[in-house]
Amino acid sequence: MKKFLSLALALMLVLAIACTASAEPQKIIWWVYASGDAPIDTQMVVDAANAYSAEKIGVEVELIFKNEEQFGLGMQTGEPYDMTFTCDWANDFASNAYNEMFYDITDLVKTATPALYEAIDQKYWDVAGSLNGKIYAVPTLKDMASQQFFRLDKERFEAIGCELPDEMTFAELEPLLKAYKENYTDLYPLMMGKGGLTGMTNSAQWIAGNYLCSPYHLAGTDRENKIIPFWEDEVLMERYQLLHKWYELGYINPDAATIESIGSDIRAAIRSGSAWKGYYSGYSSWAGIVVHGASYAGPFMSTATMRGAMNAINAAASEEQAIACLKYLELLNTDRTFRDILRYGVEGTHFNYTEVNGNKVVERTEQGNNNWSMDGFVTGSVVNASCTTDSYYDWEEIFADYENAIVSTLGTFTFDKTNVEAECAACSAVMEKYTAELLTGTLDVDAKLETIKEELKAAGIEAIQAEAQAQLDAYLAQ
Amino acid sequence: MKKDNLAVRDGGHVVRNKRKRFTWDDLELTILSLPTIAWLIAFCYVPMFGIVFAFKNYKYKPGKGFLYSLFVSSKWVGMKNFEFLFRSPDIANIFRNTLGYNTVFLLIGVTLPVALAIMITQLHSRRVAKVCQTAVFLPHFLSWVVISYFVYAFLSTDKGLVNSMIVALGGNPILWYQDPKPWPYLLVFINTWKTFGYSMVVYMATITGIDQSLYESAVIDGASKWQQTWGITIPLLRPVISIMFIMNVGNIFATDFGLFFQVTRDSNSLINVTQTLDVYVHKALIQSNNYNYSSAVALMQSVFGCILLIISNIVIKKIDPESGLF
Repeated sequence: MKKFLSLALALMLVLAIACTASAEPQKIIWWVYASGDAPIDTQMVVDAANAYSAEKIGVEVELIFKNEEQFGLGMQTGEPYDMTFTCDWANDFASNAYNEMFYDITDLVKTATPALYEAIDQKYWDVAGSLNGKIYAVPTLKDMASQQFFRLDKERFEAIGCELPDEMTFAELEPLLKAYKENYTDLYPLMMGKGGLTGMTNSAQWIAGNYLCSPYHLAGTDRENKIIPFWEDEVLMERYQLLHKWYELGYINPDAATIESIGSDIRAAIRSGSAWKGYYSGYSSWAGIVVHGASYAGPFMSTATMRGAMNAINAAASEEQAIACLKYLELLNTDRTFRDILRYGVEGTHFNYTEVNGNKVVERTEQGNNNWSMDGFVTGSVVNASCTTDSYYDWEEIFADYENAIVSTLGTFTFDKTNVEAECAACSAVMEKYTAELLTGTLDVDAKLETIKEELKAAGIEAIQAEAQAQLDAYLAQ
Repeated sequence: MKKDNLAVRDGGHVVRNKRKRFTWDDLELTILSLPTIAWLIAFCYVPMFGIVFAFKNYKYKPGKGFLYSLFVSSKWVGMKNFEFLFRSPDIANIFRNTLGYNTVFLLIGVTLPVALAIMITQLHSRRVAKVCQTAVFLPHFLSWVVISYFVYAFLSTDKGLVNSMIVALGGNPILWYQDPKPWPYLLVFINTWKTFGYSMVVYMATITGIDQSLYESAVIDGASKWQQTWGITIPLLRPVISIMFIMNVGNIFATDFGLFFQVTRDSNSLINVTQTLDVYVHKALIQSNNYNYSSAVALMQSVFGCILLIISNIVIKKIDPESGLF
């Protein structure tokens, strides 16, 4: 009798909890990436998204925008969160996963959210979201390879009779620079800030900082699977040399190494960026001009490029919270209407649906452009969001193209820096002194290389290289 | 002066008895100092447990909280975190810059503001004196970021005032942010411009507090302004000067990050003359979020600064027993 009573009571308790749970939507805190401040209309958009998701899956979200440094601080001090943005370049996935900061979702994602598991290709789970065979993060479907483009000012280049190719090499930029300089004498054809040409160094897979790498172009040669210092990568060195030559010729603004960046208020003839085919061509509402995209490197594919954007769950979260997070991501990956709310804002306020060539696309309003604008990967899958009137992509075609990408031979190898942390910090400090100068061509790399080498050796680059190579060899032997 | 001291010494017993009682004045002063004490405890003493970082390999343990992770689950590593600093190939240069600049700032800091404070108090027109005082005090309230833009307005390569003038006069523009030679002077100048107004006000307050009858009797004895300054003002300023000096010595290993990083726009071409300890730590650790290493460096700066502070206090008390901080 007693047993029965306690069982009944327990059952009632469970029911009571279940009832309250279904009445109150579950709340999750989600840290997302912002390069600057949070967008102005965050509250409005989140309210709209919460109304939708509460009805569909009973989950509401509190969206917190963080920049690269704030992620580190938040993670290290134990600020409460349920789900966080993580990737290869901010809130580093590998080191967090090593330190077991993230929830192991290997089984949970298959049992709790099979539709999410289905929506993302097996290879991205295995390579991007996993570490040592366990899944710690949900990859965000976006461009999964890294392809570098020059973004050329179509109008001005065509006005001076230049023909703009769809594909070119880095060195082939020179005639364009020359022609531009000759015709627009008071302008610098290659305006840049201290970051240089965005994505320029992405033709190698970086193992440690920006001093140890494994260039993609060495795959299939006898230097395959070797981790080398940057000066042994001929492709990168040629670019540094060319940049210095162009700097000397007056093609690059002389203060490039000391200014932060070239904003959209400056009409730059040439910019650079990582994207996919078709992304840059056409009218750019950001730059306010017609841009021609010319690919000069890639597409390359590695763990780093596949880990371009992901979401992971706090290891301290309860299973219930973890399931709520996965459900939320599932909805983002499968429900286009919901995805469009977080991507483009509130329909009628931030954007309107319209049709182009029979495809349903999004036309953003001015309020949408100004008050709810961010990178596409920030709030979830880019692929599942509608395309805009500015740019239409066939994602299936782009993903099919990845079969032809140049794939890294390093597999899922990730360097564990624990044993050489002091050396890495010292090498980072050495490279900090030269990076902006190298990227902007301010520095004559041939003249300065011996000094850089010596300083890096004193800082312990050889120890890091040996450790990384040993780890890689052990990984490849498996 | 001497007479006063003697009186206190003779009646020392009485005075001591008197000090034991907590008077109304004391209460008032205690209440007045409460916000400062609260500030000191909250921001200087409570966070001091963070020193533990310097001897640990801090790893956050999810779900256990920050304090648990720091004190319980993170491993002790002894002095290992300190090694990081000495791994830098630039360590000699870093120390040269840190100590070199601070020594220069220290010397300027005890001479220039005193001289200017005396000069301003000698001004006949009160209004001019007030205007001067406000004008030199103003930069104290500007942040280094704002100042960095001021400096940039002057030194920017293509739009800067200085280069515009050079070009207008037929010269070639100078790449200011790529040429390290003028920067030691520029940095000393900018730092002095920003900070000397504040210490000047401290000295001026002391000068105003000097008993005017001393000057009157000096004038009756036929002392010139110069003699009054050397005979009355400077000796009476000496305790304040030594206190300011000792306090600055305590900071000799710490540099103003704003000055060396923001004002120079983090230009790597200038690194040989701008890399101080704080700049190095920032550059080395900005990517790795390693709080252990940065704590180790901060602890080292504080410990050495404290040792130097105590030594200089002893030295100053040997020279002049009435001066000194403690």
